[in-house]
Amino acid sequence: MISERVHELLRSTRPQPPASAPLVTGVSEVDRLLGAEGVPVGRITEWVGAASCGKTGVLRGLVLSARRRGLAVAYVDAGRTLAAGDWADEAPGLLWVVRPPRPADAPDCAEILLRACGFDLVVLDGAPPLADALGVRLQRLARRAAAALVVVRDARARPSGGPVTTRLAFTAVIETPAVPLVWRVEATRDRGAPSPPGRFFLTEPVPDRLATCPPAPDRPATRTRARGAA
Amino acid sequence: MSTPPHAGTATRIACAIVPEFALAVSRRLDAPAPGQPLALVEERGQGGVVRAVDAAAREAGVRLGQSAARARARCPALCCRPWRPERLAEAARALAGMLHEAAPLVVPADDEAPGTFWIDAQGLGRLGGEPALARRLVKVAKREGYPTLRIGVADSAVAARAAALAAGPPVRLVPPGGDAAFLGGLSLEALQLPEDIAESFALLGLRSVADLHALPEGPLLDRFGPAARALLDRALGHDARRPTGRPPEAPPEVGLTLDQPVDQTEALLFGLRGLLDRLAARLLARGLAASRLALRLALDDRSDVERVVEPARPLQHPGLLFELLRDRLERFSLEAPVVELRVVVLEAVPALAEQAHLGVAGRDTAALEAALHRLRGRFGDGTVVRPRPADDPRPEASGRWEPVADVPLAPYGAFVEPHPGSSFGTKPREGPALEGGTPRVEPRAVFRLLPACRPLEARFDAAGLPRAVRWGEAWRPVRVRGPERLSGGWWTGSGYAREDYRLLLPEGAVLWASRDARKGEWQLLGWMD
Repeated sequence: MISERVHELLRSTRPQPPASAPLVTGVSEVDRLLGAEGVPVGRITEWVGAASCGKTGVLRGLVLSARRRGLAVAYVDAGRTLAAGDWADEAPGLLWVVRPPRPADAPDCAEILLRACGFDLVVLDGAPPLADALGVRLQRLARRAAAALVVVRDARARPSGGPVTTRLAFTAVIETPAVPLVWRVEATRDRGAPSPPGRFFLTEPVPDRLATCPPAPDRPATRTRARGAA
Repeated sequence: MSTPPHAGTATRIACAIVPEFALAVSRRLDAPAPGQPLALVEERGQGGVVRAVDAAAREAGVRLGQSAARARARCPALCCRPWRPERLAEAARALAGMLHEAAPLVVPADDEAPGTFWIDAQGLGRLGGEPALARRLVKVAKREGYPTLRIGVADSAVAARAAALAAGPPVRLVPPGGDAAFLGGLSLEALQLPEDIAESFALLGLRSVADLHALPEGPLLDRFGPAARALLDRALGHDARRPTGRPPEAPPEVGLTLDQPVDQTEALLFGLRGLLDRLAARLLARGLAASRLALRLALDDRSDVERVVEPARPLQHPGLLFELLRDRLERFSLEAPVVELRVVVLEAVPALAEQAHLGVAGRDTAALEAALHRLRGRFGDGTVVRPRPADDPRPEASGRWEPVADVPLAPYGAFVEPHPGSSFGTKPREGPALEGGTPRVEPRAVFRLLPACRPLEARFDAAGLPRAVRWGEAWRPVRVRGPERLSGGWWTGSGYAREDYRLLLPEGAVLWASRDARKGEWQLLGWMD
């Protein structure tokens, strides 16, 4: 059928993302650690840190940067813990957040997304550690799809199996223990080319929330009594 | 409807009516909870206006023309669904196609309210006669989700319609030659009078069709002109309207009867693939795309199972149809081996030409749709979502997850650089602030929500603030930062007043807890990362 042939033609002629545009986080210190290549395409990058170390905040920067360039991002939120307000943005790139019913289903979701060859960045967050065979399969699919796969895990969880090319570890301390909080984050790259740690600050997003406070509707006008009336 | 050359000869016509068709379609497609009062609301400006209500909602005080807010105030359990008149014609065509299983000619009545059908009821003696026709029609309608279908059979269209709408049992058969007598016992509303004539008749004290029969014809024609002639004809059961035209084609359907019962999913998938190739060819031949399908399995224990699927957009491609149905088939929990596999197109729409964006930096829409169908089929319709902003100061409510139902057809890479070496491509627009080619993003922490907020397990100090909380399996001392006071929503009836705190754990984790300012209860909402 003609439609099938057109789809085949589209697949075969689909341009690859230009090599001159690396996937970056927008946080200069982290991007320096990643190098000129950025988050490597066709490979697995592991994003490691304890709770409140700022890894999701940096990841948000990576997703937003990609979307602002018009790239397509899929985010598998295995624990269903993302807050929609943090990720709503008018950027032109596609963003699908996949929230499977169980965390154990998350790797299957990532596999389906990578097989579609429709995304430039796939994030797998909160999934159980990947077995070796599954890691290798996802890496091959990522290479075929010309997509970057970022696997996010807690610092206490077992490392993922398979060929992890880059591993960024995040640690943080509270710099200003008052509201709004400020974190001093240190990112290190413990796999790949050695480089000194990157340090930067993260803040709590209080001003954004206050700015979106909805106005209360008008109250009905109250009847005023004439001065001097009984 | 037209006047055939044999008008005036003895004929039998059936009229099938689905009362409150818009509500019935909504109840079938939008699936409100059973028994829940239902209203259809038309969006106008900032609010909505009630356009249709069912009996339960009417009993609760909801009226046509009310604002949606007032209707909800009257009936808190009210289920409001959007008023979508554009889909009534499509639903009527689909139902006519299904009713065609029970009768040789079924046409939607274009000159009547949506949900009215004319059916040729002549010459059915060898098929059980008119009672059997009515039973078949009711059975098909029930199967298709329209259990309230009413049937009237008579010599003329006006009498058949009046019989269908008459109070009492859902099926009424007027004997041959009995139209005038039947209509004589009805009120004048059965004749569908124009509004001005109905008012005049009411002023003259005319109430029933029998009153009209009793009047002399001459003065009536003098007073009301040619319109009265048509009324008198109708009152006597003289109605030239007949069901004519080409019967709607039944939606494509393919089936596979297996040589022996099969209980292996792989074998069923193999059969499904072949079925969908045939189905796609039929759709293509008729220029249609399936917008609603049913996968039906007949089991060896003589039971049937069915799953109805609605794709993100109408489909015609066999590969996409397969991706849509394969996971549904895998998720069937079968009590017995399968003996027959059937795919029925419940609703189809004309296939649209698809614009192929050759040479443009974009992704394959068909592949994305296939992934969407697989994810929705395997894990549920709400699995794939996209964030949308919401106007609420509470962090957990400042956005909402909107299910992804379709894939944008146009290339979404508005900022993508043209492919090197290609003369085509999207023109880069001026985007957000760029810094050395890199979009600038202000780093900030984000909220992570617990799947369900839970009471905070804490030990409190004299000031009523937590000094230790249970996090994981152990008790941890905390430093408290806050409060951040939030209140609002009093105008919606779901007001809140609370104090948000940050609880700093020794190892650096920052928990996010909230104290209800009115009840004093503490909730753990999540953490920051």
